Amino acid sequence: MNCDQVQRLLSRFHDGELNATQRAGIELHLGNCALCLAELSAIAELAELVRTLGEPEPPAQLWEQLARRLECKVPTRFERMWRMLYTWKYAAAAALLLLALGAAWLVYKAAGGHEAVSNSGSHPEMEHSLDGLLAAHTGERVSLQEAARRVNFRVLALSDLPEGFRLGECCLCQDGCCDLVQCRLLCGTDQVILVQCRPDHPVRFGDRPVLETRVNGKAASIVQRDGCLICSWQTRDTALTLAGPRDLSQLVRLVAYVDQRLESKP
Amino acid sequence: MTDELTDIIAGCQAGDQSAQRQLYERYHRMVYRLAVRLAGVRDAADLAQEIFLRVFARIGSLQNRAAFTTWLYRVTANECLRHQRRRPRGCEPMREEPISEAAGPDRLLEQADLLERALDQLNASLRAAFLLRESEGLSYQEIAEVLGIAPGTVASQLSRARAELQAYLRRIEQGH
Repeated sequence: MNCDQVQRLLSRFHDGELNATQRAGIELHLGNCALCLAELSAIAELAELVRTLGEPEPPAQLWEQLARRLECKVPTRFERMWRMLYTWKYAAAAALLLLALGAAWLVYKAAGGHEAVSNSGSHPEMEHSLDGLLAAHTGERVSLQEAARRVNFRVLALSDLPEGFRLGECCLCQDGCCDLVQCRLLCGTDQVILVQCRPDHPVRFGDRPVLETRVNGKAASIVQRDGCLICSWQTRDTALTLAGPRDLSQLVRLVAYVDQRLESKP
Repeated sequence: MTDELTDIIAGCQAGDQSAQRQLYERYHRMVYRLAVRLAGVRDAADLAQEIFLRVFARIGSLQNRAAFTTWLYRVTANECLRHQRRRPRGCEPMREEPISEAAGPDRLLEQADLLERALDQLNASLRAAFLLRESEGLSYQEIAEVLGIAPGTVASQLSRARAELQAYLRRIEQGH
């Protein structure tokens, strides 16, 4: 290993985040290179310096102020339900489970079996309806560049859209503790919504996908809702939901476009 | 995760205030410390309150109790970064009483003051990654989960943060 290679890996070496081979290569180099050894010492000194910051002391009344605000807060329906479950524990849980199963069966029958696609996701906080999503734009309307600057995940630039498409408005929405970047893509009178968010907080529609498929080797699910197709999948840096295409060929074209660009180097 | 913490979380999910108090006692120093270091001391107490209100409001939807600490770090970091976007930290001190040039011979305090100034020069996401690593001792994987980025991005952000901090400290030492 030469100095350039070693110095690129020194930060990870210091943090113990390299494999044994890389580690051994660097240790060998450090034994003979004072310059790289000095760089490593500088990283270690910085870590030492952080320890000099000391521990800030929280204000003594912090809990009292928080408790007052908690007392004023009206519990949400979800919290009330939890409180009930916690109090009655198993009996209440069993009753609720039976009720939920009964309700699910009724909904399933009423909607004609597989046509019913309910809106639920892996995160209860992230539930949306497609209508709500298409008409949403309840967040702050910003340029895509501004949205990309303000979120902490990779956002696709959408600079060279497939032929016939143009970029409509973009919104920076917040859902729980996470940001969503929601963009409208327009093609004649058709519109498609692309939602981008961090990979551990995906937006999904439907608990029964019409199709489980793969996008460049990654798991993806496709559901049909209100005559539109919705595809959800995630790349390494971004979770994506594309909603609105009327047919599979348009969906495939757009998904391929988005995925290919997000998988390329930033 | 200990059984005791699991019980505390279950209590919080049921809205039990004594469980909320216990959770607060366990984690308020961590939350306050990060709020001070990411957003500055002036707003840290308010931010810590907002963070705990958010935690208690949303803990009911936390399915994986074993991942509670990572989730708490995520809520804390998100709230601090959101605060930063609304109100950039600028040169706000981390301490109530910034250490002046005439603070005396205590070299440690001088060094801490220097580091604070250097941290102010970093952009918010680099500062968050650096402090989660050096102050909180999180692994790259944990930082990636907290900040919603890939572990590879964590590595490059940490490397960049360190290089920028070192460059700033060198400039100060050379009197620029």
